[in-house]
Amino acid sequence: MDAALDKLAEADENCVLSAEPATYYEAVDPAAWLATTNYALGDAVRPVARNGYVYEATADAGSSAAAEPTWPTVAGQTVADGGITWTCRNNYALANGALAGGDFTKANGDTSGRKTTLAAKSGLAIHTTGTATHVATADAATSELRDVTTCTSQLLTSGGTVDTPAWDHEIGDAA
Amino acid sequence: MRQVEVTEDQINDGQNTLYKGDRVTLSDEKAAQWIAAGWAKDPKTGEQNERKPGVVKIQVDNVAQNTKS
Repeated sequence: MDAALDKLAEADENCVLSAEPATYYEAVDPAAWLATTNYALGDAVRPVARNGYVYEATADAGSSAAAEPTWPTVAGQTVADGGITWTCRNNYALANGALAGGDFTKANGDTSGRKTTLAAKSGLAIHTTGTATHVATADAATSELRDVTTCTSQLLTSGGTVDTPAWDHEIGDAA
Repeated sequence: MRQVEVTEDQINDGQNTLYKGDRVTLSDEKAAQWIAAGWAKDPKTGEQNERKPGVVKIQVDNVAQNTKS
């Protein structure tokens, strides 16, 4: 059971979202695209001027071009960028912050089994206006979602910050 | 229902992304919230408020997962 909780604790990003994410790319706020940069398959970028989408490197035969491409805004569409092909992905992120291993604490479950608690976080920068309904954690190294839960519906206005309380993921004993 | 015009550069609303100038029809309650928050204006009356970025606290729901025997 602790092995499953350890997997959750590999997350390095805390995401506040407007909708339930099904994939890593729907949850994260990657760094802005850079010119003449060597990207790897699976890497994610956002346009220099945010457009509500992120882009996954789905073909890698070199580096990005000197000039930013014209980004498609239909999920699944692709654009060539030097040696990179980017595929458009939906993105519901409103605010994001970094996590470290020390942010997770394991303990016995409140009901049974075991739990991991993600520490309270404050000052997550709101980069996109929207209504928060979900919180997720993600692992940038593996491009995987680690955990998703719901939150109180709350209006977030870009330029502000959001605080999240500590929350638990408990895995109960078999009944 | 009430139509509003988005005044934010971008709004993520569920799985939809809206941009400045988009006109959408919302429930009366939601339209009032967006206008009060400074996210949108009423194109008929011109009602509009200043946007209010600040510190927001949210409540996060714990996850309880059961295992099968």
